Amino acid sequence: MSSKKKTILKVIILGDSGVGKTSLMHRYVNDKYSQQYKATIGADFLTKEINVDGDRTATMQVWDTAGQERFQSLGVAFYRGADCCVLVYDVTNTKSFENIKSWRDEFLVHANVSSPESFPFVILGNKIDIEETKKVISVKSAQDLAKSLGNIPLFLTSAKSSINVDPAFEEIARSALQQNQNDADAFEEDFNDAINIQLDGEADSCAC
Amino acid sequence: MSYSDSLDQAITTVKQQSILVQRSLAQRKLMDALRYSSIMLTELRNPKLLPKQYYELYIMIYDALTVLSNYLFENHPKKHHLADLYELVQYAGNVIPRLYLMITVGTTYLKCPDAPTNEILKDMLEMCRGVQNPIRGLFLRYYLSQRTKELLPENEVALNSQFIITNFIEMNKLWVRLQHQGPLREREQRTKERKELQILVGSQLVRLSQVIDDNLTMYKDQILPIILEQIVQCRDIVCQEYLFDIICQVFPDEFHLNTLDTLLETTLLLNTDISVNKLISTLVERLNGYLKRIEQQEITNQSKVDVFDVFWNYLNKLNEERPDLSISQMVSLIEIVLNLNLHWFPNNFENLNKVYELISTKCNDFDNNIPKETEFVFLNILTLQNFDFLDSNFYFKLVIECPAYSSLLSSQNSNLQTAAINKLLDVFITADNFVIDSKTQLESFLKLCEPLIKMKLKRALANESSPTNQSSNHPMDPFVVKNSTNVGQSGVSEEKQKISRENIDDLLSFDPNQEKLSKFIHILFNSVLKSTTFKKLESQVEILLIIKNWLYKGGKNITFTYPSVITNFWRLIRKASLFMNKIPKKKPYYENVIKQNFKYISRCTTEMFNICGAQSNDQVFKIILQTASLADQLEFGEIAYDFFSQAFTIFEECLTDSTTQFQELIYMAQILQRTRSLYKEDYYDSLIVRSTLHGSKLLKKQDQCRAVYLCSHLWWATEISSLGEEEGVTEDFFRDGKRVLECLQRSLRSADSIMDNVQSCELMVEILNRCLYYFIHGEEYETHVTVNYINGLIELIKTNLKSLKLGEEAQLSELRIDDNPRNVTKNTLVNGSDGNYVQIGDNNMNTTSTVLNPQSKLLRVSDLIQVPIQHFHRTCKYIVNQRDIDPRFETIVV
Repeated sequence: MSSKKKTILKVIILGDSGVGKTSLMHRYVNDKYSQQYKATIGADFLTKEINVDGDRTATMQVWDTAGQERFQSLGVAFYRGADCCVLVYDVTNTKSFENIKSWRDEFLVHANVSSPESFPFVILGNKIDIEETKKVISVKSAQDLAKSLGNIPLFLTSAKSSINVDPAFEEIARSALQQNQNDADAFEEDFNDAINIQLDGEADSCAC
Repeated sequence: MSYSDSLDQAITTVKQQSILVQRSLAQRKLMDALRYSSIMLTELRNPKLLPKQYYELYIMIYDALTVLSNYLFENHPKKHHLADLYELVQYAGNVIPRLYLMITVGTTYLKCPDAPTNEILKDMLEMCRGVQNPIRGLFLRYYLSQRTKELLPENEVALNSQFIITNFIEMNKLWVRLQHQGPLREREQRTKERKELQILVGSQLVRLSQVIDDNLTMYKDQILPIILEQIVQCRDIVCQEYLFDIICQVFPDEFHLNTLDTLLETTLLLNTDISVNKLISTLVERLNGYLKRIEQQEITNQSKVDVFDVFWNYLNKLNEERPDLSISQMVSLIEIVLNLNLHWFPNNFENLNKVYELISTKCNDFDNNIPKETEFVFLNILTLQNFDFLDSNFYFKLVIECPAYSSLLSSQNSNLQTAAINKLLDVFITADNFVIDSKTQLESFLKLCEPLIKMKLKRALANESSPTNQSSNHPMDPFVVKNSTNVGQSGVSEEKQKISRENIDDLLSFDPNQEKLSKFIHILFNSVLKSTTFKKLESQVEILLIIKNWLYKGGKNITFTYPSVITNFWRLIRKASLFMNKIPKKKPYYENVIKQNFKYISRCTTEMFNICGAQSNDQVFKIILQTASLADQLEFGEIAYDFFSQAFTIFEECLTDSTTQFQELIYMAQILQRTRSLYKEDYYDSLIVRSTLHGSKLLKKQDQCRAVYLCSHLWWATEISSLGEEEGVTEDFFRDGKRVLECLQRSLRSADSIMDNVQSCELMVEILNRCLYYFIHGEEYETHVTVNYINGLIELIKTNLKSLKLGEEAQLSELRIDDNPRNVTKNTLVNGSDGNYVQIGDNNMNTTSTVLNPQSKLLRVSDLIQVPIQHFHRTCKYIVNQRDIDPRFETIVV
């Protein structure tokens, strides 16, 4: 049945405030960049129709989130059902790099994913357009971190200069699709057993 | 249709129904899909759901409806027409499912090119009015906003923003209304729920910001006024605080810079229970962040609006219009503006001065009644310690260019003042790169330090109240007859000893404030010396006198602070002396300067002596002697003599403790022995005779003995190589062997007359060592210390030691059992020149040694006897070894 249905891939972008999550999303979805800084509050997404591996199309829901906790007053229910999580740090900001691991943990705690060890993450080190002297996170230490967190793919990007954003999101889409497929298969199996019990009872009781 | 009882059950239902929706759609059974959707949406009717639970269901339902929407779009108009479906879903039984389905269909329709966009948008907005329950209404409208997000018509900014604003206004009303629902006792619960739901309302401002993009004119003229009107009119605290914050966050910096007046004006119209500080602080943080961002993005053509001016006017207006604000609130607010100025215009001290002036005025309005809990705000304001980017240069200018700063500081309570000044001095002490160019600047700094200068020390107060101390407290006045006595009446001397020990403790426990102040005085004077204004020696002297006069205000504190002035006088004297030697024709001038400076030092020490009392006698004595030494080195013999005489006066009139007397006398002898300019008019002779005489009159015989043999060196000058003197070359050393021998004889008599055998023997061995010194350093006919004399002394010591050993053996046989364990851990004892025993560790490599008081119980007679015996053995060994170098030693019999 799923051959016809268009797949929705849910991607969550996490990271400290000001690392460029919104900019990355805009660069990817609209190919636009704005100098203006606006803090993100809550969480919302943009969608993009994508082609994966040439033949399949999917709708990617890219969720941009608030880096500041005070702007998440309704909680993070939107983590649920995610197919991929993108962890962003700013190459000129040590703190944002050090927090990558806690963002990952925070995601796993709340997302309720079926198998945390295989859930796909992607790390983006943003703002590489900024002059060399201001960079504080070396490629090496970023690679080490990505490796230590379970060989997570790492991309060094610039939303401003449009460096590496598309390749990064291609990888994100690929892992999201893979994850989506795995989950769908698992869910089908689960569901087929459980469904019939209630279905019979409720099918006719509906009045609308 | 009804909803589930629990959240878990509701989640299960939503999951199941969403699968059913998907299956129906796969089988192209749209009606079934709509029916399952409706069942699923029924869960959103549950009034018991808390905001977060509602949101969780909402997220799941949103995904399911997305699938439905995709199906509807793909099959339009082949299988159905969306216009028909839009009508059809209106028949759903309940309003919540009906409206969600309507929005789903309506927004899908919007994707079609031929859709009547404006009508649909207007209709959906209109229909949402059907839900007036706050939580359900808020989520429904949020759904509308999310669904329409990517579908609003392009290039219709006015229309789109109107759509969003309308939705926002309605959401805000629902949100505010929630506060007033349910029983009053659940008020707090309502507030909590509202704070969770706030994000839904705030998201509308995010949408607005996205829609109008960088259209400043539109924002300024149309959007912002409407939003602010809503905020002001609702009178609701939660709403006002939150939305003001969100405005600051979601609109770009440039917008804020251009609408500052309006934003600030608005805060004056809000509910008076609101925390204005919070609002202003948010705005300032945002503006400060802007600076960081333009720096990072390397934007050079930024618009630097005079933000300070805007905020300054606002502060003044607030001050007039809100007399109800407490001093804490007001001062915290001013602090925020201070923060703004420090980031935007760190070099504008005029602004800073204004700010500090305003704080002072505010303090006066409140009669300087500052609540304890606000003190930290004042400390922050006065030290600016939270701004780590400020350097010492900044603080330097703060002190000299902001008179209002200093006056604010001086109106604080003393604890606060001390804390603040300390922080400031720390800055200056660690980075002394500033230059003081004028007396006014200098005075600014001294005024800053005034509270520390005048600080009443606890110790000083305690001393004043202690009557027992008064006898030793009397001023240096020749007409006051001293009533203390040197006679060793046990009671009196014990008490005195106690007092003096307390004084020593006092001196040792520094006051950290005074210590810091003294350090700073050095830094301060250095920064004066760096200035071209004060190039002339005279002006430097004048500055030092100004500093001295300020410190004088500190009363007893000068005991800590004057030394920093005196050492700088020494420095100026040396400088003058260098000039004097370089420029012979100006010699009289510099000579005069030097003499003047010595007089100033004398003034300082006299003041210290008169004001500080007994506790500073020791210090004054030493400073006087060091000054004497300096005068001697520069060949001002008369001045040196004068200072030595002053030192004697203190010694004779004020030093009562015998240990101190002994030590001070030795100190004096050390300095005297190295003087060279006192030979004319027999100054030297009279001074050394006087000190030796004092030595022979000390209270304890052992002190007498040691003082006199040490004084013998006063008649035997030795080379000072830095003066070009050389042993064997220099002819005119002050040497008088006869007097040396007399001294040694005199001390031998003292040693001999001591009843304690051990002591007596030890002292004789020490004298023997002195004799050997002179034996090495001169011919017998010069020093008068002959081989015969030395041999005689050795004989005498041997005899005495023999009888000492006899005594010991007798004692040992009595105390054998008791002594046994001690033999195992026997340590070497030696006698120090102050009469204390020093215990040296067993291991020679291990240099730890312990000083033992003569009264210590650890000392046993058997151990003590070893002291002179061992000392004598070492001496004899030395003599034997010396024979290899100097054949004269052959004649000494050991």
